[in-house]
This record gives sequence, C-alpha cells and structure tokens, in this order.
Amino acid sequence: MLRAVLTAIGALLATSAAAAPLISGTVTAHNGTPIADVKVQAEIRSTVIAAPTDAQGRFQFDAGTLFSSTELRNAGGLMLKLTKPGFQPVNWLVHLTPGQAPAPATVRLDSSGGSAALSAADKQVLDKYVAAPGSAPLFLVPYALTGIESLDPKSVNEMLRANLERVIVTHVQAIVMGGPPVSLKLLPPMEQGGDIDRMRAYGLYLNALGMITGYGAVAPGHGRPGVLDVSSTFLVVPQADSLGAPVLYVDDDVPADRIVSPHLYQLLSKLWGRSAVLAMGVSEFGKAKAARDKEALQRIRNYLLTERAGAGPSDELLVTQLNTLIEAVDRELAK
Amino acid sequence: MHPPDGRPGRDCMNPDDSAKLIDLPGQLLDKVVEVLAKVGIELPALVLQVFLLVLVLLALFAAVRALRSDWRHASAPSLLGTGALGLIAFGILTGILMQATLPNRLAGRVHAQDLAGVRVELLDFRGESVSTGGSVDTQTGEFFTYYSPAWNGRARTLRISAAGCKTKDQPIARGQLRMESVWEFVCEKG
Amino acid sequence: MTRRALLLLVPVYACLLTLAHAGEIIRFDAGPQARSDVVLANVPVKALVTEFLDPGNTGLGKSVAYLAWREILTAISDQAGAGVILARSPGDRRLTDLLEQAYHEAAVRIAREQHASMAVWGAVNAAGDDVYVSTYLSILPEAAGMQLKLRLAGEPPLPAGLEAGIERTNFNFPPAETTRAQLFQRPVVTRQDAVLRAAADPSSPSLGRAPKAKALAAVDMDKGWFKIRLADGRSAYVDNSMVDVPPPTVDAQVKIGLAKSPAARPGASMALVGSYKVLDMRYVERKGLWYELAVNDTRGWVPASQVRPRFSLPMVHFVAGLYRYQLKRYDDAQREFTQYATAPEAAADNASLATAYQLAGASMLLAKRTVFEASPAALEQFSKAVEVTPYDPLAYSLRALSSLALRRQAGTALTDLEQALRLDPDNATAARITGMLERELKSDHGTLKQMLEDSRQPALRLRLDDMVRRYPAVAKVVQQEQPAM
Repeated sequence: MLRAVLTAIGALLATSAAAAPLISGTVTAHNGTPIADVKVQAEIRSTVIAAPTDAQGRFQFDAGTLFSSTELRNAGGLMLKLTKPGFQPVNWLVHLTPGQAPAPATVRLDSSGGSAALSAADKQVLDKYVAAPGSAPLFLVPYALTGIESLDPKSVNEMLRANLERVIVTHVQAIVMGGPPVSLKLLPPMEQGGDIDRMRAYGLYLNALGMITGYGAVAPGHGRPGVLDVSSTFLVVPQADSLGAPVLYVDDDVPADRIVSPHLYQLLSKLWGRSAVLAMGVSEFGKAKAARDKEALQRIRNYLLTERAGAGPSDELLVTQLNTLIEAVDRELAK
Repeated sequence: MHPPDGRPGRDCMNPDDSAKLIDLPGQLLDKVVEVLAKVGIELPALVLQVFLLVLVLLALFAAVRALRSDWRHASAPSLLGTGALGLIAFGILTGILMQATLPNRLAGRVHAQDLAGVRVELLDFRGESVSTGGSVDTQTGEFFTYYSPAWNGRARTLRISAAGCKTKDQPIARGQLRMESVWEFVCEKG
Repeated sequence: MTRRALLLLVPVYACLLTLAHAGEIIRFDAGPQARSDVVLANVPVKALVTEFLDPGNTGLGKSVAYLAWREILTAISDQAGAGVILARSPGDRRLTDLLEQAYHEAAVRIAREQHASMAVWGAVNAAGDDVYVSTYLSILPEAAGMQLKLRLAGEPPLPAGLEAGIERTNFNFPPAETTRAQLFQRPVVTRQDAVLRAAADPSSPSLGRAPKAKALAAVDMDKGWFKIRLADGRSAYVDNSMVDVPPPTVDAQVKIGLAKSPAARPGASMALVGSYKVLDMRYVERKGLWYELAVNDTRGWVPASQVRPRFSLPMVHFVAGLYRYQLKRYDDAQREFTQYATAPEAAADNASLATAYQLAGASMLLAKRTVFEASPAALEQFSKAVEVTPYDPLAYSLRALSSLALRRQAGTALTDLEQALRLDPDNATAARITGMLERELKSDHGTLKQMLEDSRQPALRLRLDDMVRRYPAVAKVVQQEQPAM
C-alpha cells in the first residue's frame, strides 16, 4: 500500500516536473535587430503576463510559476502572444511534449501598417535605406510640389533635404551631447507617400527616427510669380506605451519664386529640430526602460530638460509633449 | 501536412472512421439532449443528463417495485419495459461516463489567407461558448482550445472569428473530437 | 588749535568708520576658470571662419565667409590678444564636405586642429537677388573661459556656490534675409597699397593700384575678391585681404559734432539719432577708430566709440561680444550683445537671444567694481532672458543671483529660485544657491546676511525652510561641509 502511494506520488512529481518547462525566445525585427519591451503573454486555458523582452529582445519564464500544475499537465501547447505598439501581434505556439524541453522561439515581428501594409516592391526600394542599429536617421519622402514648372522637383527636394538636415542636426547637436548621429536621407518618390499610415509603415520598416514629407501647390499669381502653399508633416516614428507617436503639421506659404526662403526652414527648423529631439527621447527611453539603465535615463532627462529650456512662451504644445516624456523618465528613475 | 517553418506538427485523420458501436449510447444521449435543447431547456449537458438519469432510475425503480411483488406472473410488455428502462439507464450512465472521458481539449489548425487576429471557440449543444484558450498561431494556424466535456457535453460546433470578418460556425463530428483537423476559414467582410 | 583739529578729525573719523562698515566689498567676477589656464594658453582667444555651405550652388559660400571674416576683424580691430583666422582645408577633404557630414561636430574638430577656440560657419541660399544666410557658432568644450560664469564674491569672503554659468557651446543663429546689394555694395578701405586686377584671379592683369587708406566702392563679390567700380566707371577686382570692411551702417543716439577729417576738431554739435551709412573708416594713432558717416546732405567723421556699428550679419556682434567678454572689455561686450539682441532676426532663436541678454547683463555687472555701483538695468537684461526662455531654470537662477546683489533682497531671489527648482528639482545651480542662502542666513555674521535687507524677516526663514524640506537637492547642499574658498 505504501509502495503504491509512494509510486503514485513519485509519478505525480515526475509529471509535474516535466510539466514545468522553461519557455524562452528572442524577438527580432525583419532585419534582425532585437526588439526590446515586447509584451509577452502566455495562454493555455488562462492568459498570464510574463516579463517583457529585454534590450536584446530576449524573454524567458518558467511556465511552472505562471500556471498551475493541473493546467500544465493537460496542456497540449502553450500559446505565446507577443505584442508591441507599432508591430503586428504574433501568436506563437510552443508544443509541450512531456520529457522534452521546448525549443526556444525565434519570433519575427513585422511592423504594423494595418491597411497600409508594404508591398514587396516597396520593401525592395526601402531595403537600401534601412537604418543600421545605433543610427538615428530621418527620412524625407519627397514633397509633392505642383505648379512650379521652372523648378526641377528632384533638385528642389535635394536642396530641401540639405537645408532641412542642416537645420535639424544643428538643433539636435546643440541640445544632445554625444547622441546617435542624426541625418536626413532623401527617399525616392514613393506611392501615396503623403498618407500617414503609409509613412508610418515606411518609418517602422526603415527603423527611422522620423519621417518628413509635404505637398505644395502654387496658386497662380496672374503675371506675378504666385504663392506656394506648403503643408509639411513630421511623423515621430518610435512609440513607447502611452507616449504615442505624435504627428506634427506645419502649414506655410512662400512666394513661389523663393522656395529657398528661410521662412520654410525657419518654421520647420524649430519644430522639426525639436521633434527630432522628442523622437530621440521616445526611442531611447524605450530602450533604457527595458534595460533598466539609470545612466541612460539620466542622460535622456538632461537633454529633454535642455530642449525644454530653449522653448519660448508660445511653445506650449511642445512643452506639454516634453513634460509628458520627462514625467515618464522621472517615474522610471524613481523605481 | 507540415507547417511551413518546420516545427513538428501532427498528422490528421479522416473523421468518418469514428462511427463505431461504442459511441451508440453517447449518440443517443446527444440526440435526447438536442431535443431538450430545442424545447428550450438551457442547462448544461451534465445537469440535463443527470436529471434524465434520475428520471429513468425512478421509473426503473417503480417498475422493478411493481414487478418484484409478482415477477413470475409479470406480463411480457412490463418485463420488456423494465428491461428497456434498465438499458436506458445503463446507456445514459455509460454515455455520461464516456462523455467524461472525452479529451478536454481540441487541437487543430486553421487554414486562412490572413491569420492575424483569428480566434476559435467551441460551442455546446445550446450554441453557447464553453471553451478557453483558442488563440491561433499566426504562422501555422495551429490552436489548442480547452473545455470541460464532462460538464458541458461534447463540443458541437467550432466557431472561427477574426476582426473585420463574419464569424463562421462549423459542426464538429464526434470523431473529430479526438484528432486534429484542418478548418478552412475564408474572411467575409462584415 | 589742536582741539579744533581733533574736533575736525572726529567727524572725519566717524565718516571713515561708517564707510568701512558699509563698504564690505561685494562684486561679481567671472568665476575661476573651470579648466586650467594651461589649456587656455594653448587655445588662444581665436575664432576660425570656414567657407559657408552652399546647397544650391550659388557660388556665394566663399564670398560670404570672407565677408564675415573681415567684419569680425573690424569689430575687434582694437582688441589686443584676439585673432580670427580663415580655416585651411585639411587637404584631402573639402571643408564643406566635412561640415555637411557632421555640422557642429565637424566644426569643433576643424577648430581644434587649427588651434582656434571657436568656429564660425554657415550656409547660404539664394534666389535671384535675395540671399539667405544661416550662421553657426561652435565653441570648443574645453574653452571653458568663453562661457558665461557669474559669481558673487566679496571681502570678507562670501560662501562659494553663489554662482551660475551656461554650458551651451553650439549656437544656431536665426537666418539673415538680405540681398546681394546689401551684403556687397558698400565701401571697403584699403589697408595697404592694393593692386586692382581685371578679374578675380591673382594672375589676371593689373589695372592699377590704390593707395593705402582709400575707400573703394565695392559693388559685388566673387569668391574672395571684391568687385569695385572705379571713378571712370570701369570694374576692377581687389583681394579681400587687402581691404578692411567697415560696418555698412551705424546706430547712433548721441549729440556730437562732425569732423572734416578723422580725429580733427568736431564741428557744431548735432543730434545723431538713428541709422547712418558708413562711407569710410580710419584708425588714427592714439585716437582710435573713426567713421565717416553720411548725415542728411553732408558727411563727416565721428569717433567709433560714440556710435554702435551694425554689421551685415548679427552673428558678428555675438562673436565680437564673446571676444570682449573673454578679454574683460565688459562695456564693449555689453554693447555688442545689445546690438545682437536688437537685430530684427534675433527673436527667431530663443536660446541665442536669451544668452545674448544674459551676457549683456553679466557684462554690466562685471564692469563695475562693486555691486553697489552696478546699474539696475542689468537686472532688466536677465528679466528679458526669462521672458524669452521661460522654461529655463538657469535664466531664473541668473536673475536670482543678480537681484540678490542689485536689490539686496532675498525674497525676490527666492521666488526665482523656487521657479527654477519647480522646473527641475535636481537643478544643481538653483539648489546650490538656495542651500548657500540658507546656510548664510542661519549663520551669525554672514557678509551676505548683513547686505540683504530682509535677511531677518521670519517669513523668509519659513520659505527657506520649506524649500529645504521640499527639495532634497537643497537639503544636501545645506548639510555639506563648507568647501574651502
């Protein structure tokens, strides 16, 4: 009788031991860059939340601590649900074979475009520009300018790129000491470039810091050069939880024969330069938070404060955005 | 059929092989419960089944009591009737026990153009969702879904849903309960 | 006799005694050099000007750079110990290529290699006749002496820590919208016997010579050459290194007589108010720099010290101001920063404008021996900076420091310090000043305590105690050991 009981207990223990597997894996983007801060949930009968991925995109948890032994015993598999804003959610089934440790998962997250998913042709064009890890490029999707027959749109966009890059990078350099190098690269004309969802899809695919585009049309001036109405958009690409990914718009008008007018760059320089710093803050904050890097958080806080210090009395919107981010950094630092 | 990323999968069997004699009591029980459901009795299967069993046992008890007093002189019909009641009781009990031995999970694979956001659910004889789990692997379409056949009766319908699509219900044959099937899903906007 | 003498001496003695008490000397100084003077010796006060970027290929990149260079030279022409050099190309790479890749970082590298403490560079865009010039200033981080640091010092000594300084080293000035005519149509004055050539090329045939100290009428520029119109209507080219470039106009608000020639006796006094075109410029031994101005229908010479030059690019004033500040010519520094701040484009970049105001205010404070002599207008400069950058804790700290000295009240200073800490509870400068105030006011015989009129008010103590409680950074300063002075 006792032997039977002992064997039964032994069997039970053995089963429960076998049914408490270590689940691990790595999450990367399509180009192999690890994605940090991906929310990891596990589902058998119930759904539980495991720790998010670290700065190297890795996650690991002991299923035995998250699920009851009964649930594990009867499970055929454990479904991993990986989500992160800006990416399409992925479910990954880990088969639980008794006696065998489950293989680590290698999950690839694709950026979400929703209805604006990228076509293979788009990806082929963009592959040449994908940012290497550690760089912080901005991309200029060429402005769609109509009604300026005398100017070659390609050269206008090239000049726009050169001027905007200078204006943005010098602003960032005055605020952020020793950050990742920021640059503005000109993309070839893309289909429906002005559509925000499309731009976001491009931006996520490219690992961009921000996307800039615009469109303009000349209202004819009847003999005089006319006025170019320009609308510019800056899309902050990185997202971090509740901080979202702001889109900023600037409308301006410029005499059509003065595309180089500093009005265009001036307005853009203040807004875009600041948006670049904000985008950098959001992107670096996500990484620092996942890696629990207090030094990095302090650095980010310093340059966000420096950016805010340069704001004028009419820059309330920018200050609000900066304050939201600064508060988030402060909360992390206080932990 | 193996999933594209090479992870080990399971082979599927043909559901038609499952029409075996052993399932007769269960099938009978199913039918009775279905009828009751049509009548509008919205109770979990086990409750109904136990209720039925109790009824039949009571009838059997009454019949046996009636016979016991003079079984040698009992008429053939009353003997047959008692026997039949006994058989029914045995059938219900066996059915309940077999129901309890059904696997408490259903594994399978969904085959669809876009697996994003696809979920599966199991519905019982009342058309109520009785399962947990049901997330679908976005690469292979594999899923596991869990329920309690002892309590709810066997799973009758598989419901597949996805964001932006009309939900699709497909009947689950008895034989499919113990094996992994492939379920087709075509998204109809709506 | 002796008794009367004694009686006389008593009041004198009494006066002296009173003066001795009232005269604890409290002054501002520019703080100790954060980096050692050895480094500063190797990195003289020297700016480097590079060719301007030219994204539209207008050909103006070199010309505007030369012009900026010559204007800065004119602005600091009387400043000993200062120099401006034109950057050499490092050889294998073009300067503009390097700048287009890394902007401020590249400028700093170039300056460091060529032993300058700061780099002036920019970009030119043109459309027809309109020219848009953006300018940038990159200061070497190790050239700490260039930075503003204001410290309240005194005898007997005040506690250390009553100081504030800015750390920005990269400045992005707002673009100047101008025209080719405004930039290049102006008089240039020969510095020596100059050769006039037929084309903008040293190998081109000579068309004659111009004597030293002659004003030539420049109409345009081609790379580094000024195109001038001769008296007979012909065009000739003169290399920019052979001429000095006076400011195109000066601002004046003075009653002065015009002289017929430089350093001659002035004529009848007249009111000069507004902006006047400069026709000529001359440096006279022992009499300084003189400008010939066009005033109404006449022309005449005035000393440069009586008027304020206005150069083509506002940046020139900022850079000249930095030179003056670094070399302790505070009155001149204040004038230059004020010229920068009053340029119409200056408002477009808050950060540089605020810095200009702060440097102007600091110059006003540093120019005087003691704070009691300093003009209260200095406080206005710091207030303007606060208006322009209301989210900068440093702006409030600087204003607090100056109101401590000028108003001799801790109350107003505390309001500013509170605002600074509200914006950033960890702000070291504000915490330090507040902490030092707390210690000073707690002590029995602090110099500052005696200077501040409201130091004994209980409300003040309450406010300070509250701040120490609310801000751990302040509490830390209060608890620290007094550092050695």
